[in-house]
Amino acid sequence: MFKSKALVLAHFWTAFLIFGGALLLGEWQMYARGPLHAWRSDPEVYYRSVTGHGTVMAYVFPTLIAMGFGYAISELALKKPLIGLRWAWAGFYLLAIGTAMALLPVARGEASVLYTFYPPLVASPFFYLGIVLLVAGSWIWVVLMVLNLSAWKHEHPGETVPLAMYGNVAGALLWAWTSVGVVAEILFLILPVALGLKETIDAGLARVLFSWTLHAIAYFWLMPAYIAFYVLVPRAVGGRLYSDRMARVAFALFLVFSMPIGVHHLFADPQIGMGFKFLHAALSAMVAVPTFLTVFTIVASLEIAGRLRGGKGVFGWIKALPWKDPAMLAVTFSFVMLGFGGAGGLINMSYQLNGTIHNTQWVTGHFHLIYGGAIVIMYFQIAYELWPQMTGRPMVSARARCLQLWLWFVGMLLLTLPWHLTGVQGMPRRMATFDYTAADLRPMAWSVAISTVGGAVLVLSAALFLIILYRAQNLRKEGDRDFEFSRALDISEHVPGALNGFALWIGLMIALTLTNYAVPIVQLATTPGSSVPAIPVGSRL
Amino acid sequence: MTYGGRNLSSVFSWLTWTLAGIVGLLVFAGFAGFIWLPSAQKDLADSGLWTMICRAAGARSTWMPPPLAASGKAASNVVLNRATINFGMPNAAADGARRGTSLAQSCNACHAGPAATQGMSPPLAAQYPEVVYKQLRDFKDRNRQSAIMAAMTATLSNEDMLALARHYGHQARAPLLGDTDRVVPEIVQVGSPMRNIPACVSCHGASGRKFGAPSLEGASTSYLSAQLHQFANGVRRNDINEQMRSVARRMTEQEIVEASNYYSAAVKPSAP
Repeated sequence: MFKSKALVLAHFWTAFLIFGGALLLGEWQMYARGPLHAWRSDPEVYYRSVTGHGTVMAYVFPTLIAMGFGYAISELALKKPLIGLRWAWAGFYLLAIGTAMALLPVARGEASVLYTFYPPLVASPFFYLGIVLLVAGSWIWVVLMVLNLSAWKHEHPGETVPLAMYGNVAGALLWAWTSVGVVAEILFLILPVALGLKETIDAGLARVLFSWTLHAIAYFWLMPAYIAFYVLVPRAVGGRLYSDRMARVAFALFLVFSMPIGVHHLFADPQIGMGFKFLHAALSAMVAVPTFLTVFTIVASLEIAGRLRGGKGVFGWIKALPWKDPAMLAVTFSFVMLGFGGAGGLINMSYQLNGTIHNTQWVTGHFHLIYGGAIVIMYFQIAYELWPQMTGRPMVSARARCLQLWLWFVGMLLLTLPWHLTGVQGMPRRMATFDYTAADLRPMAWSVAISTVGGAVLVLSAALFLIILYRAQNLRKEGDRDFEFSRALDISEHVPGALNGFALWIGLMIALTLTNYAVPIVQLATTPGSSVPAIPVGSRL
Repeated sequence: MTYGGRNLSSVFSWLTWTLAGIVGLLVFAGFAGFIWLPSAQKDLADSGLWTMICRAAGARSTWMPPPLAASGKAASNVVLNRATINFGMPNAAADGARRGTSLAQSCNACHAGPAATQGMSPPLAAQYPEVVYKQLRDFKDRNRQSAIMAAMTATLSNEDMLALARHYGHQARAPLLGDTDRVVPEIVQVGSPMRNIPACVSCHGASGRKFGAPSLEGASTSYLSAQLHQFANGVRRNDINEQMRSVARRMTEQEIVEASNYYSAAVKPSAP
C-alpha cells in the first residue's frame, strides 16, 4: 500500500472498538429482558441501550468497515496512491463527529427512538443531525471511490477494471443512492419537528422513505463480505476464482435489485397499496439470483482449491480443503449462516408468509444471523487479511484466529436459532419486559436463556478478536510485502463493456426505484391530513 | 464502433437483454399485484378493473361508511407542547404565580386535603403543569365530561388555566411511600406484554414519564378505578391517540382494582 495505511487502520480500529462497545450493550439487553433474573429496572434504559446498539451496528460500524476496506482496495487493486487522502481524513472526522453527536443524546435518554427512528416518536435534533453528518462523511468516501476509479480508467483506457475495485465502487454507488431515503426522511420530515418548527409528522410517509434505505442498507453491509468472498477467499485457500465475470454480474445485480424492494418491511403498513407490496415482494425474490450466483461461484472456486491440493472424487476435494485456515472457516461459517438466514428471509419477503412472523423475534433473529453472522464474520476475516499489509507485521497464529471464528459461529447460532423459535411462538420484538412466570411466556424462557448464553459467547469472541488485532500490531516488523487478490480462471477473457462500467446498472437502479417508489411517495406526500402529533422522547418538564 | 474500448454491439446486446428481462419481470409482477391478486378479493373484484388497479396502488378512496369515517367530535382540542406550558405564561412569573394562587382557592376545596385523597376529585399538588392545563381545557371544551368541572371551567380564560397549571406544578407533593416494603402489582410494573398492555410505570412515572401523562400517586381508589372504567367503555375519550382507552379496554377487573389500590396507597398518610 502507498499512503493510506494509517487511514485504513484508523477506520478499522474505530469500527471494531465501537463494535465491541455496542456488542456489550446487545448482550446486556438480551440478559435484561431474558428469564435469568427478575426485571426490576427501567424500560427506558432498555430502549436507550437498543438505540445505541442499533445506531452503532447499523450506521457506524459497517460504514467504517466499507470505507476502510474501500480505501485499501483502491490502493491495492489499482496499484496507485489514493487520490484525495486529505478528503478521506475529513470524511473520517466528519463521521466520528457525527457519531459522537448522535450517541450523546442517546446516552442522555433524549433519543430512545431506535435506529429506525419510528416517527411519530421524535428525539433530540442532535441525534438526527449526527446521523446526517455521519452519512455526509461516508458520501465523501463515495465520491473518492468514483474519482479514483475514473482517474485509473483515464490512465488505462480500454483495460478491465480490477474486480475488487468494481465491487467496491458498486457498493459505494449503492450506498450513495440508498442513503438518500433516510437523509430525506430526516431533513424534510423529522428535523422540522425535532427543532420545534412543526408539531405534527407524516409517520406513514416517513416510514416509506426509511424503507428506501432500510433494505438496501443491508446489501451495503453485505458488499465488503461479498468482495472478500470473490477477491480474498479463493487466493487464501490456494485456489482460483471460478469466474470473474460471474462476480461482476452479481455486483451489478445487487446494484439493481437492492433498491426497489424496501416495502417488504412495510407489509403490515396500511398506507401502502397491496399492488406495490406485491411488486416489492416479487423483486425481493430477485435478490436470490446474485446470492445464488455467488454461492455457486465460490463453492466452485473452493472445489478448484480442493482439487489443486490433491482432492479426488465427488466429495474428496472437500476433505482436501485447508480446514485449519481461518479464511476457509470464515467462508464456510458465513455460507452456513447465509443459508439459514436466507431461508428465513424468503419467509420475511413473502407477502403472505410474512404475516406469520411480522414484528416477532423471528425478524430480530433473521437480521442478526445474516448481518451479525454471515457478514460480520467476513469483516473479521477482512481485518485478518489486511492487518499484515497495513502494519507490516505478521499475523498471530492461525489457531487463535480459528478459535475466534468458531466462537463467533457457535455464539451466533446459539443466539439466533432460539430467537427464530420464540418468534414463531409469537414473542413480539422491541419489548423491554417479559414476565416469564406467565403461562403464555413460560415455554419461551429456556430458548431466551440459550440466546443470552449465545450472546455471551459472542462477547468472548469479540474480545479475543480485539486481542488478536492488538497482539498482531505489536509483533516484530517484517517489512512490506505484496498484496495479492484472487486470480480468476477467466481473467484472460474479454469482459463485456456493461460489466466494466456502471452506467447501465445505475440507470436500472434509478428506473426501478422510480417505478416502485414514485407513486406511493407522491400519493402520501399529497394526501391531506395524514400527519399525526409528534411524541417527543425524553420530554420532561 | 467502440465504447470504453469495447465492441458497441456487445454493449447493445447486454442492454437489450437486461432491459427485456427487467421489463418482463415488472410487467408480470405488476399484472399479478395490481390485477390478479386484487381480483381474488370480492369487494375489489366487483368494483371494476380501473378502480381495482387504483385501489391496489393505494389511491385514496372512501370505502368506509361516512358516519364511521368522520366520527364526530375531536378527542381534544389541546396540542400539547413544551412551548405552550413553559412560555405561554403571563409575562411576569410572580404575577402569574399570584394569579394561580388566588384562582386555586376555589379548586382546593375538592382538590387538596382529605377531600382529594378520598373523594372523586384527584389531588393536584405537584401534578405536571401540562396535565392540569390539558384537563382544564378539555373540561371547558366538553371533551371530558363532568357537570361540576364544566361549570368550574366555564369562566376560566386560557391564561387562567396556564396560571393554575403552573401553580399546582410548583406545589410540594405529598411524600411517597416507596416500593421497598410493599409488593408492586404486575400490571403496574411490567404490564402484560402478551396482551399488549404496557406497564403503568412506563408512562406514569417511577420508571418512565411521558409528556402529558399524569402522576397518579395519592388519588383515591374510587377516582382511579372510575377513570379506568370510563376509558374502557368510551365515556372518557380525551386521550387523542386512544392510548388509555386501548390499555383500559384490555385490563381485567382484577387489574383495575390492583392498579387503583396501588396508586391510591402510594403516599404517606398525612398526620391527623
